[in-house]
Amino acid sequence: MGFFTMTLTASMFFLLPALGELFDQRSGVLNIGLEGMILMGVLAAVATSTETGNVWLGVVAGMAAGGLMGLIHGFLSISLKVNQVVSGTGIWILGVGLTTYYGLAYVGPVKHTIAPIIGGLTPLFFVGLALVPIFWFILSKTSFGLRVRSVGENPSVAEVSGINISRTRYIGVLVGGMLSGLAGAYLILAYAPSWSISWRVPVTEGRGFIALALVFFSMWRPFLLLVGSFAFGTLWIMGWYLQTVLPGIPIHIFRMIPYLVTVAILVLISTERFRKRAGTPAALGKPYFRGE
Amino acid sequence: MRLRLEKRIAVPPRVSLMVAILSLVLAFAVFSIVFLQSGINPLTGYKEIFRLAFFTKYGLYKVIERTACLLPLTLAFIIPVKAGIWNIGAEGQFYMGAIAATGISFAFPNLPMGVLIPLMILGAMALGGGWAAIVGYLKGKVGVNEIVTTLLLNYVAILTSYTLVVNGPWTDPTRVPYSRQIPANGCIPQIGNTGIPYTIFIAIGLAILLFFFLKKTRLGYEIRACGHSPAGARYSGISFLKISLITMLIGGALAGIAGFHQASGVLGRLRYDISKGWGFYGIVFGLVAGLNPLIAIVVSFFFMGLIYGANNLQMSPEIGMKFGGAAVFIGVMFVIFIASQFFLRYKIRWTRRGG
Repeated sequence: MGFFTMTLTASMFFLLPALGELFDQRSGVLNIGLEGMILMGVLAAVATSTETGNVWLGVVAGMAAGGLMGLIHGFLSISLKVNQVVSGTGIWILGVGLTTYYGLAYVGPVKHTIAPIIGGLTPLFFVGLALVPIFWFILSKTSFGLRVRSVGENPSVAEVSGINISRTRYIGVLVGGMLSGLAGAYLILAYAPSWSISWRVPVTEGRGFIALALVFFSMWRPFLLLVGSFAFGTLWIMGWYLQTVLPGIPIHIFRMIPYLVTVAILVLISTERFRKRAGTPAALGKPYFRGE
Repeated sequence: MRLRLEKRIAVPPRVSLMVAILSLVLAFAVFSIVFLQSGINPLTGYKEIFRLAFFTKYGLYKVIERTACLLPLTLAFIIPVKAGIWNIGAEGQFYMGAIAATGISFAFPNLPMGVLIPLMILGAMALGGGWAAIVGYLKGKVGVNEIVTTLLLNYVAILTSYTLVVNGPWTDPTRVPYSRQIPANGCIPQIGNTGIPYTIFIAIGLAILLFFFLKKTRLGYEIRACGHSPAGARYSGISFLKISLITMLIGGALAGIAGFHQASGVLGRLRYDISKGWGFYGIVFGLVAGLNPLIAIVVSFFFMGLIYGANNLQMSPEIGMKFGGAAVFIGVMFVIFIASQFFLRYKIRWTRRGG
């Protein structure tokens, strides 16, 4: 596989969960449990495709598992008004627990994978790519998108204008979870079809957290998110390449680069100049309590 | 009649205890599914978890040893969050503490124990604290979201340990993914032959100290004021940058001590898998403890007991190798305890419509 194809393939794994998270955050819900949801997507996809022999059923199962985790996050943080960070942490630990236990039966190379169609890229890649303009259109051009944004911006005003806050946010976490699940299915059926279990370095390698950071980087705009995902896909693959060019430096140093670059970018976009234009959903992270 | 939620102003201890007991019962009920799948009678399973953890000498010592690790990690979450700052980076700060402690022991292997160990503890506190203070500074000065930065820096810290111990400068040629052994004078002694390092006293001492620090000192008051209302605190002249820096510094130093404990007191070396996600457990423990450092002692002891018992059910003659679902047990328990926070924060009232 060429460098370019590898970069695109790696980028998509950042883009999918990040796009879901972007939608989720636009409705005002922060989800730091992305990794747990992606892992559940991986497990459901690998189990379903192995048992049925149908990879597309695996993709659907992955999305369903991710969506279910999203709904649990929603139940905790929307209905029970638990802090979203704590809820996300719980979701993540639960996802890791379920996958390490129920995933044991599927350790090893994946039997059925999704074949590439054009230039080494699988159909899922193009699905992901198509989702960017779709999400942009829904969020910026439809009345539904306006409702989602107003709930993330000012829920009390939104409620006065007749929007159901809980329902809108539930849609947010559901979409976020489903896309994380899709990312898991993509990872295991198309991108890196071998399932290994280790708490320290699960198959996701902490990339869910980069996806989370990318949402902040994108300033909640789908097209900027696409740019960011490609930049980080390149950075991620570059690490492996640099290692062959500079064999004297330990590989793990290169693996740090994407995380450090993300921190640097976050600092940059948090400065006054960018902050004004960033458009952080004002109610992000805050549970809604009527009459507050 | 309709349901109405009311925010509680204070939670009576009786209610907290009831909610905790009911959460535990619910978690046990839900997890029984996993036991039944493995062909284990859930009642036997739970009895064995408690017996292994709290009623065997070996288990109890192990649980106390792990409390010495988890208590500072819990405090590492509590102190910053009291100021409204979310330290999700105890995991990385823990690694940094372990790295500093191990590195100092390798640099000065011939120092007497009485000098080397305090030096290692200070180093672990400094590196763990410094690592967290980066986040505290960025949060206070530029307003960078601390949740995202702590999560990202965790990976940098973990990868640093990989660099050092996996085919790195500290690798033990006979135990490849691990570091060389910490010299004997750098290993904090254990109480008698219990296997519990003396760090347990440091951990409990710190919890008591921090309880009074938050309650009785001016700085503690400023921290709580920031957490209660950042704007109000600013108007009364409290520097948010100062509070952000100090609380993260304290949090990181606490996590660093846990790293020292694990490297010097338990493993005797640095490993890339030195933590099993424990830095994140601290978030849940802190929450369940109601952010109270004293209750955190009990909570971390009790939860680490349950986790130890579940992890070691294979040692039970009545269960044996049939069971490996401890990770699921932890997940289910955490999610249910997180959900239970609702009943601590809100009172449910039935009111007449329009009343």
